[in-house]
Amino acid sequence: MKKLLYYLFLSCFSLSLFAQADRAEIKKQINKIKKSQAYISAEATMPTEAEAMDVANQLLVMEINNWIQSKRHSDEVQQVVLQDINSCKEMLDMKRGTQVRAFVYVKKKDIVLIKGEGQIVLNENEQGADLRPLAEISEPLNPAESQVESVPSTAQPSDGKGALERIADTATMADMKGVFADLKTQGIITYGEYKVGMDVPGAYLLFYDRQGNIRAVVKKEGDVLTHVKTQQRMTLNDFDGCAAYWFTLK
Amino acid sequence: MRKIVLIVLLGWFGMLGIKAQVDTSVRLTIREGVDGPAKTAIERSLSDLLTEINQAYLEKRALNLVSLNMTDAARDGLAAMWENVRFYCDDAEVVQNCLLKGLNGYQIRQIPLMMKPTDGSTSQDDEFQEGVANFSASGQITRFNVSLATTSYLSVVSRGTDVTDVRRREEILSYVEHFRTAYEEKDLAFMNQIFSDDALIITGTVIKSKKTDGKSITLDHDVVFHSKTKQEYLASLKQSFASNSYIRVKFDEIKVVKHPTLTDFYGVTVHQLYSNSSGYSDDGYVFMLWDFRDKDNVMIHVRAWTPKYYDKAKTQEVPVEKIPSIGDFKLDL
Repeated sequence: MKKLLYYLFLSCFSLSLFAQADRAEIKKQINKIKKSQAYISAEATMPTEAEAMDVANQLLVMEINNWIQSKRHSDEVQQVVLQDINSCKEMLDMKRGTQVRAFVYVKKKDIVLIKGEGQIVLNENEQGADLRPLAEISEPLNPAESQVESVPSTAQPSDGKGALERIADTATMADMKGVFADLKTQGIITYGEYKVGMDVPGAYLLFYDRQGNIRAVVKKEGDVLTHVKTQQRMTLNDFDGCAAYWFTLK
Repeated sequence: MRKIVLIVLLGWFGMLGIKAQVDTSVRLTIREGVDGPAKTAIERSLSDLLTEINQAYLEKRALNLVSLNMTDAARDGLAAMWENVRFYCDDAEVVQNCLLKGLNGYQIRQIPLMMKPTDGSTSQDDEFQEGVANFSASGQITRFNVSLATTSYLSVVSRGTDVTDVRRREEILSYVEHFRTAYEEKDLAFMNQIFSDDALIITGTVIKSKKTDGKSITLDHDVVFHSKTKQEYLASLKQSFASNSYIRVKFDEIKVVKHPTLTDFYGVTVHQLYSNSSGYSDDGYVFMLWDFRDKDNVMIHVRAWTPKYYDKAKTQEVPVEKIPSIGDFKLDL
């Protein structure tokens, strides 16, 4: 029995050492990311995990805004999109005493800056990127406050029939970026981010999900949404979890 | 023989387990915010200090700060803090950005510290705190203290309307942090310097009165305010510092309001929890009117304390409108 107790104590201390080693390894990992110029990061230590994540996210937003302000033409940035938000913000959590430490980080190359209305600028390395919805950020990043005012009061997309078909036939946001850019160059399209409640008479809405797949292109007339291909009547409830752009065509 | 070997192994693993929690050498690495000789100096100064703090903690001794790159004021402040609470840095390597402080100074925030009060009192919530270090342009440590909670810091700084406003808010918080720790460090010299000569020190006390309509009696509460001069306040502070081995002050719920008409004047309201070794404690709001016109001589013109509750049972809060605010004071400049 005594031997059993001795071995038990020994194993407890050994486990304690292993736990210490794990903790040290996580700290090294965190510091490696912090020191890397490829990431923007933030951390917070709070009594609960939820509070720690909330504060860390707020600090991350501040750091991203500071980084954007350090860039050229930062005053032109209207919107910031973080791609693939789930893997962008990974959390390494560990304890400090009885409190929880949350560390969040995002790769700089996964930050897409949108300048002006409808002009999507890739990151500085010009790597192809899927446009994905901005989500779960505690504060809006340079929200485009004037989007409602920029919607034309009468928009008649009569000459853009070919453009509409082109848009309706595009399956992903990655491809849609090129379509929108092309149409804008031709002066055919005007577009912006759609928020529920916006007044967008005569506009079309493009709904897409977090993975960047186009769910539908609909014509909006009052509260009525009509699928441009199937002519099926739809509602906003059909697009729960999606984000949207409005657009008008000449 | 086997038993002896097992006991020795047990003791060795035990010592390793304890020692592994506190790193004997700490290094600061600055991610960005400063370059060149200043960066090197700041990294070395704070690395040396945090290493000394951890070693003094492990060896259960006083801090030896003589050879470290610190001002005398910074040494005195830290030594006073060490009298009340022992602490160590929780990381072997601290990686942080360096912030600009004022026109020619620097600051490192979010230094992870684990606190152990010397009086044996323990508070689970207070065990982890963040430290903040201020530096001169040459990298010398001018101040080291426990910082305000990150949530308080965020709530103030995130409301900055532009870069200049954010910088000013950071500066205000830095002074508020210093003001808070001045109580704990019993820094009478700082208190004498920070209050203007004609500063108004106001303390609110709860008065209770009974009202009757002939049928029933109701209790009514109100707050009445008494004022003191700066000299009267410093005298009572000196007495309090002398008669208490420690003083603990905590600030949260910080609000910063710009004066509506006077540039460089700000009203700062904080929720303050105060306690000392005599057993006294109070819970109230402190309003301060800060004057930033002279960057080298920032001062407080008004300090007003209002209790948070009417009653000791903490069931009836004093209404917000009773707490002094920036609009209650007319400045005669």
